[in-house]
Amino acid sequence: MKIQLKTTLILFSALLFIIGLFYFIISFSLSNYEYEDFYRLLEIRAKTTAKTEIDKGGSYTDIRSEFFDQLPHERDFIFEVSSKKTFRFEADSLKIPTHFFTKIMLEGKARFNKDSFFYSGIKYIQEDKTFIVIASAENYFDYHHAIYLKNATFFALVSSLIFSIVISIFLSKYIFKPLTKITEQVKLISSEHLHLRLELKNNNDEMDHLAATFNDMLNRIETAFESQNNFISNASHELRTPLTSIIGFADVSLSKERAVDDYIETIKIILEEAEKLDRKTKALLFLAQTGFNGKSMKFKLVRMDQLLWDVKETVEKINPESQIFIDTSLMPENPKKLKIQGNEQLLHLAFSNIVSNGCKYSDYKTVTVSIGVSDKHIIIVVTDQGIGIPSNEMPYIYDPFFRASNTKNYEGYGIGLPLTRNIIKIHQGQILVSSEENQGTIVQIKLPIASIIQEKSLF
Amino acid sequence: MVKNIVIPSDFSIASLSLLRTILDKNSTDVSSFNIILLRGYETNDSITDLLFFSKEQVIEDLSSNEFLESLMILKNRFEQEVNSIRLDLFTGFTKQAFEHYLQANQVHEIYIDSSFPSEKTNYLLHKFIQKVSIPTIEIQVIHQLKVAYPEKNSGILSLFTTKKSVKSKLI
Repeated sequence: MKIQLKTTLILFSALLFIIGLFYFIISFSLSNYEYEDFYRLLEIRAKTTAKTEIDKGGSYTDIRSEFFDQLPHERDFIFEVSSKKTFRFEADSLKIPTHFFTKIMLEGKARFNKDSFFYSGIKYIQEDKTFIVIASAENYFDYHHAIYLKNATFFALVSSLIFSIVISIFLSKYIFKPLTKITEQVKLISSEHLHLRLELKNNNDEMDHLAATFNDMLNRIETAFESQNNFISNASHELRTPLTSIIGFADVSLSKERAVDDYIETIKIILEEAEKLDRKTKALLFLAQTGFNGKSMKFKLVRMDQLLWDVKETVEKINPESQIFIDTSLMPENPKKLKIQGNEQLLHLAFSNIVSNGCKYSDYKTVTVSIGVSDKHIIIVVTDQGIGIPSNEMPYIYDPFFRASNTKNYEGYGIGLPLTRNIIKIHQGQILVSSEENQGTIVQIKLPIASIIQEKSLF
Repeated sequence: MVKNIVIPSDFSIASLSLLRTILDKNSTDVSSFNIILLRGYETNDSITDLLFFSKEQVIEDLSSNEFLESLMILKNRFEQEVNSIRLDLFTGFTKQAFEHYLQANQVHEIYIDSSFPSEKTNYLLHKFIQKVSIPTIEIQVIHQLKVAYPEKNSGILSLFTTKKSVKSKLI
């Protein structure tokens, strides 16, 4: 709530400042302008008064009053100036300071205002006499309009401030809504629900980046978790089998006296199984390395075609009945286009998973692995002729420990595909599975090429 | 030697099978190809459409990202043989215009896929191709799906999962 409150206050004070500034600038310039205008008006009146009264001796007074608007409380004063006078008497009679008069004598005109009464005076010389003519009136605008305007602008100020408060509150709520949403979503993710991910709106803003980074982190954590699970299940199964044979053979040989040749035979078999166990332990340790690597994963250049040949070898070693055909009909001639940045062990794990699944669930019919390269991606397609995945179960294939309904006759832990998907995601790739029940499954994996070599472009 | 060839296409991935076959079965005397994937296009008669007609825009609308990606896959596979590939539209409506187009682009040969009925495969160009002066090679590309469920075979997957066999003849 704190940052939200801070945002609201900052926004509100900014708006307050701007609107206040606006208000004051308008009021100030308005007042300045209206005074200037009114003084000019009074000056003109003073001059006209001087002309009509002094020059023409009052004969134009009627015309003057006919054509000039009557200003509120308008009064005109004419004083004759003699050199020895001070202006004390006149000043007191009008209640205006004497510097007003002195300024008129010195500069020819002057201005003065008291409350809303404005005075404008000029010096008028006729033949050899000097006169001071003063026009005064009440500033109508100041008295009526200005007050109204001030009230109106003040009202505008207050209502805009109220709106600013409302807008600031709503805006800060709106901005922080995705943040609170992310917090709530993350609370749901725990070790049981590690497969959940935050929603991405794909609009490339900062919240989306945050959610995407969170998802990346969750991918890494989930992979680690699942590698661990995978390792434990595989370990117990794989180690049990040769151990069972060893125990079995040893037991049988010891059950009664046998010929030396029999013992030699049995010991040979025990040695074989022990070596098998040794190889399997090595393989499992390798599996553990990919999952338990506490330090950050190091990516280096991996050649995909070589990887696929290695995967074929591995799967065939684990199960010699496997038939894997690597289709190179669309493989590019330039080997530089077959390299990606990645972790070789993890990728090996991912692909062996897919390929061995293909073999296993098709009762060891041929599995085809094709590879091709487009401008930015390496595309690998694994096709099998197995039992397929029922279409209504397709949304669940990446859930950990999920096994489709038609897999009852096949062994498996339901960990391979989610692990593979996470590994592909870590390499910024995509995986797509399409399948038809009882016909087969196609798995398409896209991985970005390591170096975008600028060669001849397409167009 | 470098050969310029034209392949009628509707910018779909199915039409790439002909291209793939040509490059696959290429004998060694052709060092590289400049390939034009050509589609007949009837422009609208209205003046506004003619004024604002943009070939690039139309090609972009007619070709999908997957098509371009498949094209890149083929280009990367046959890097030696393919000198250039481009997509083009033919907007004329007379045989002479077509001949001029071929002459301007110095086209040596046209290849057509006879496994489709002729209107469909030649995409509005069939009426010109019959009587054109340069050699036209007809190749029958038989599509055999390796995987028996064609609906899942859309997009780039179809490039990987179909097998083709050919019979060719010169017309």
